[in-house]
Parts: sequence; C-alpha cells; structure tokens
Amino acid sequence: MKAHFFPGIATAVLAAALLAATAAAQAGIIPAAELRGKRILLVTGQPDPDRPADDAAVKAHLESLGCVVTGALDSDPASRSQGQDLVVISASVNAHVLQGTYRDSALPVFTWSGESYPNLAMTGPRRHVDFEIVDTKIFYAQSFTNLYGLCVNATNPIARDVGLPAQLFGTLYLEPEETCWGRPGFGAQVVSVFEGDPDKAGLFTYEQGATLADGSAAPARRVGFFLGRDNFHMLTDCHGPAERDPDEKAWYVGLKLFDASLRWALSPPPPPPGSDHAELHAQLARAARGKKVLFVERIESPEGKEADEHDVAYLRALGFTVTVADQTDLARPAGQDLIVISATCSKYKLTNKYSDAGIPIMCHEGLYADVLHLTGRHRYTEYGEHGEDKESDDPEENYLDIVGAWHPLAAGLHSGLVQTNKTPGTLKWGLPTRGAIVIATLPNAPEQCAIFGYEKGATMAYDHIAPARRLLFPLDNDAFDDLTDDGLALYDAAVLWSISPPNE
Amino acid sequence: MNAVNFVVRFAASLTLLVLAAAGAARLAAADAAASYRAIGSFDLPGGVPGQAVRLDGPARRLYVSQGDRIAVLDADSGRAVGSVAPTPGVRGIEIAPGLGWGFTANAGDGTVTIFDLKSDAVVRVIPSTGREPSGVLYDPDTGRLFVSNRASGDLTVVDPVTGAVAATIPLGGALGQMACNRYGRLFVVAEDRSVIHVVDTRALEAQGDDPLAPGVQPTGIDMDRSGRRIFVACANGWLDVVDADNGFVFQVLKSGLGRGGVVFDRTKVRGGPGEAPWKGRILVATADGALTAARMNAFINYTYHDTSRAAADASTLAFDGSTNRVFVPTAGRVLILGR
Repeated sequence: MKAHFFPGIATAVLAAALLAATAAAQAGIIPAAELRGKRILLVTGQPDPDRPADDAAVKAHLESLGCVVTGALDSDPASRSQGQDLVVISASVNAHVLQGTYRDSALPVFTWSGESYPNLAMTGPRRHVDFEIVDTKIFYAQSFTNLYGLCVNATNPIARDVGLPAQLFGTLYLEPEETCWGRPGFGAQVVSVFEGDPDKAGLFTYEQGATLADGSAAPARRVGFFLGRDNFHMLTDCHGPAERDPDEKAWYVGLKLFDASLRWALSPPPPPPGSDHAELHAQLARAARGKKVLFVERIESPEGKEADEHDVAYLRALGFTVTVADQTDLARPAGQDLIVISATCSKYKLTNKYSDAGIPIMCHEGLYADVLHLTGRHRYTEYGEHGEDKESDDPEENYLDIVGAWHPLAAGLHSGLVQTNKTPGTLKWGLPTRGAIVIATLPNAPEQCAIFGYEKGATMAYDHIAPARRLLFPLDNDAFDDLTDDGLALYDAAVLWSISPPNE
Repeated sequence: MNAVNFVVRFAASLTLLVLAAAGAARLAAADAAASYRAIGSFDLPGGVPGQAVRLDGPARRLYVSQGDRIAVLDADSGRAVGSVAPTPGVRGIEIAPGLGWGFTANAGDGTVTIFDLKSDAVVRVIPSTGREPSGVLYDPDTGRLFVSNRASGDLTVVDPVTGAVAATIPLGGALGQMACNRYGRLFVVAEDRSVIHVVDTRALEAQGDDPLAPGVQPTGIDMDRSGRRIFVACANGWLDVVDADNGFVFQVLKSGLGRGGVVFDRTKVRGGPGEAPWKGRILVATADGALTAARMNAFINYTYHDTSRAAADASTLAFDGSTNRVFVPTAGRVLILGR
C-alpha cells in the first residue's frame, strides 16, 4: 500500500511545486524558495526612541524567508553594499543623510522611504507633488483613505504573483497609518495607487534600463513601496476561513505584495532587447507567416494614400495576409490576427467599431486613442498632437524620447532621444493610464506619450480592461514613408509585440 | 505566509509594545483607585482546590470545579448551595440558562455530564468521542454542544437534547478552551501549536487556523461577539487580540505568565481622572498570580491598564458584571477581587 500511496503524494507535491514554480517563472519572479541565501543590505536610520521603526520586524521577516541580512546606517558609504544581492532602504533613514548613496548602485533597490525617492531618481524632487509622506497627524483623512490601495495593472508581474486583480485592496490593518506615495516617470511600471489617483503611486517599479524620473537609465531594478516607518507588522494578511475565500484572500495582500516585490527585485531582469534591426525584421517575418492583418484606412484618402499603400505592401512583404478595409466598412475583425488603424482614418467616421475587438490593435491615429480607451477623453489634455498648425503650440517633431528601453517594443534602442522620422512633422500623443507600458514620449514633454501599449487584461482608461493587446504607434498620414531605420525598427517591434501571444 | 514568518514580524515589533505598556503603567499609577484588589474570599467545601469556574449571574450561582465534583456557591454570600457529582476530572463547565442545563467536560473518564441548573441533578452522561475532554461550550444558535478533547485533538459535537453525537471533527493539537460568535464560527485554542482552530458550527467542518504571535501556548480565550475580536491569553505573557474575520493579530498586550483564563466584558467603565471611559474591559488571570486588566478604547484599539495580585495558580476566572467582581478559584477558596 505504502509503495503506491507515497509515490502518489510525492507526485502531487512535485506537481504542485512545479505549478507554483512555473507560475512564478511566467511572472518573471523567482519563487520564495530561491530567497534562501540571498544577501540583503538593510539600510536604516539611527534608532529614535521617540519615533520607533519596524526595522527589527523587517529584518526578522527577511531572515525568516531565508535571506542573509546585513545592517547598515544611512550614514554608511555605498561600499557597504559590496557582495550583496539587494539593497533595502527603510523609511527610518534620514534621506538628507543618505542622499544619493545608492542612486547609481548596480544592485536592485527596494525602498519605502518616500523621501528617498528623489535621491534615487525614482520621482521628481517636490514634496506634495512628486512624493508624499502621508503622516497620520497632518493627513489624518488621507491616512484612512490609504488603508485602501487600487491595483491599476493586474498584468504586472507583482500583481500576477499575488493574484491581485485590478481592484481595491487592503494595504494596512484598519487603523490610520503612515504611508507614502510617489509620482514616478512614465518609465516606471505602477502596480497600485492611492485614491485612484494616477499621480499617487503606492507600489511602483523601474525595470533595469527603464528611464528614471531624471532621464537617466535605471542601473538595476527599483521598487517603491507604500509603507511607513513603523507599520510593517500591520501589512494586511489573512488566515483561517478568510484565506479560503478568494475575495478575501485577494483583499488582504499587503504582506504578499511586500514579499512579491522583494522577490521581483531579486529576480534577474529580462535580457535587453537585441539592437540588430535585421534580426528583428527576420524575426517579424517568421512570426508573420500565416498571420492576417486587417488594415483600416480611408480609401482614396487625399493625404497619405501612398503611405498607406506602402505600409500595406511592407506588411505583405513580411508575409502577412493583409485585407484592406475602408473606415466606413462594417467591422469584420473575425479571423484576423491584428488590426492596424491608419492615421488617414477619420475618428468621426470610424466610430466605435473596433473599440472592443478581442484581437490586438495597432493604432497610428493618436486622436483616436480615447475611442479605443487608450486614454481619457479630454482632447489636448489626455491626447493631442505636436506640430499641427491650428491645434498645437508645440513644434513639429521627428525625434522621440525612449523611456522604456528595456522592453521589446523599444527595438533595442537606447534610452533618450532617437530620430524616428527623417523630417519633422505632426506627432500625436496620449496620456495613458498607469496600466500602460510606455516606450517613448515626445521630447521635452515627459507626460505626452507617443508609443505605449496595454497588455491584454491591463486597465485602460475609465477602467476598461484591454480585451487584447493595444498599442498606440503614432504615424501621421505620410509618415510611414518618412521613417528612419530606427523608426522602422520601432515599427517592426510594434507589429511583432502586437501579434505575439499576451502574457497571461 | 507561514506561521513562522507571522511570528517573527510581529515579535520583532514588541519594542514598541513594551514602551506602550510602560506608558500604560504610568497611567495606571495615576488611577490606582481603579485597580482590582482582593476584597474577600469564599471557602470551598472540604478545602478542595478549585479549577474551572463559571457564573450564572441572573441566578446568582457560582459553579467551581473540584476534581470529581462541582461545588455550587451563592455568588453573593459564598454559601454552598449545592453540588454536581460525579464529574470525574472535570476541567470545563458550561451553562445554558435557556435550556436550564449545565455541562461539564470530564477528562477523568472521557464523558460529558449534563445537569439541571435548578436541582443540580445529573440529567445525562454522554461519552465523548475523543480522549481527555477539556473544554465545553454550548452554542445557542445551533443548539449544539461542542467538546474539545485535549489528548485526541478533536472536537465532539453533541445534540444535548437527545445526547446524540452529531460529528467528531479532527483538528489536531492539545485542544483547550473555546469561544464562538453569532455567525457560525467556533474558535478553539490548540495549546501546543500556538494557533486557533476555526470551525464552521453549521457545516461542522474545520475552516483553517489563525496563527498567534507573539503569544505562545494559548490557554484562555474569549471574544467580543459584536466587535468580532478574539482575546487569547498565552502562557508566555502576551494577550493577542485577533480580528475574528480575517485571523489577523492586530494588537498584543502585556499579560501574566503561565496558564490563564480571559474574560471580555462590554460594560462601559468610567475612566480614572482625566481618562476617557472604557468601552469594555479584558481581564486575564494567570498562573503567576496576576490579574491583568486591559481597556477597550475602540474596536481597533486596546491598551494594557494594570496588573493586580490575585493568587498563585489562578488560571481561570469569572466576572460578575452586576457587582464588578472577579472570582478566581484557588487553593481551597474562591478569591474575590473588586475595584
């Protein structure tokens, strides 16, 4: 009996472990078992009897996870981090003492010191605007509000790891507590915000290579977490019957988010996308085989007709089967693998017909962004254009500022300004939600995003959930013919990402 | 999160709590008049030491276990007014005035005794399905009697009217005292596992565990039913306050050491000079002879108030809200403490 019984249990246990490991691997996060032996430098402030901190609790928790924790003070030099795997900066540090000690560290940094966000270039420098410490005395009402976080991107690896949908959740246990938030740049990935305000990110991350708030590239992963100095032990968690209830389990996730953030920070970042355009193009051609594209345009458009024809020809040359549809045609997305919406389309004529399509959409028309729920509905506030005589004070543009260099959509291009078009022209932009992956912004306009996408399942404007991948890739009427090599590389990366299987 | 993690992150926060306790002690010094003190005692028949204790307030009867019998005393005069016997090795006493019955868990012979509250006569003796019954609780909502079996780590569920065993629920650990709420949950301490087992009183199935921290070896348990708070006296000197809904230990208070009993009382208490009224009180009697009082400030806030001297080996207590008296059974007598 035993001979049959125990192998069964062992197989089940092994299968469960494999499933857990697979789920973690898919999320890009190491499983909890791999924390064992990880070396963590815990940076704290001088103990202050009048302002006790939870640093001892944090240390004990990290050690209970198997990590080897070394303590350091905020006044210690950065050399203390030699030989470590991760730097953890507590809110007990004096940010004026710590300053930018770990600003350029090649180690990942995980912090809940909101005042250190600017020093780490994770946010701008202005208190109340770029970051805030929500103290219970000064911000009593807000400290109650911040007992609730809003997950704005269920597709984020950390949210996926803890099974957090795009919903409210309990951050800390029931009593008003000190919290912090930051307003990171669009190079960041935001997991949760307070008060539903996209500018109050409670939990956010920067991938290695992502553009930080000061325009530089993150030397390694960075995590900002919403905790205060003395409430680690109040991070929500549940047990008993509540743990068996999926809704309650997905509500009390404070500690699970902390642990998942820690594991994300310690996980190896994805390899940077290759910068060989020929290889990218060949990869796209391989992926295009057997795929169908619905190219929606204004047939016989007085402007951009030729560019649309070249765009279609380019896609066909890659191997796609392309069906051209007029903007007024009945929507027939069934059987297609990608919908491309040309900038020759009129927003007014195109109507809502593709908004809820369950297949990926790459949209070249920035002014159509709100219809697709890529942005809010306020023209010139949430979407707009540069370089259009009557509608913009901004000059024509042919450069983009790459802020998501780490992502495959960036085609391996470096952070910073990249010339995408040969001549300056009209460039559309949108202000996406914090559920988006932002690849490029317009020069000198860090909140006007040019290339950005939503993973399937990500939260778009007005809480619409992306039914499939969505991408804004602004190309004005004639702009396809004007793309530089780098611009064409971005185009290839955009098409490839759009038709690739989503991360589910 | 596993239980170990839970323990360490809470335990490491205790510096804060010790400081808070010190502050509370200063407060108590300014309000010494409100402290409990011994104001008398009732002799127990034959001088046999008391163990478990239970008060039937409206009937003014105090039930005190004495080995193989229950002594019944007048709660005001201390006069012996009856006894219930035999109750071999009795450890737990429960009363159900609505049924007119009382119950005992008899570890000595593995039985449960049902007795009449007026005549003290034994109505029925039911064999428990587990070994060493130690705790007994009647849930008026389901009409079921729950018996915790310490040695076998399971729970016997009985219909007291028919005497039929409805279920035996395996839980594990050295089971002790219990508390239940009004929405179908029973909480049972497992003394050797530092957890509270949660049981569905309607479906009669285990629903998981609430880990305790920093409390270790929980012995006494009571709850605020409307406030949904569980108070657990632990042998290492901590009183864990648990959110009954999500099993989260959100506050810990200083208490006495050793086995202990705990009582929650929701009666408002006038505070000391300059002190806000208490919204309720928690009293803990422990084997080191301490009677710890804690105050309820709000549903999410409780503070240690003070420690009074009770008696050595005091590990259970009963509270009489009508007289603000605490009964603590000990060697040959029941100590009475009042404010």
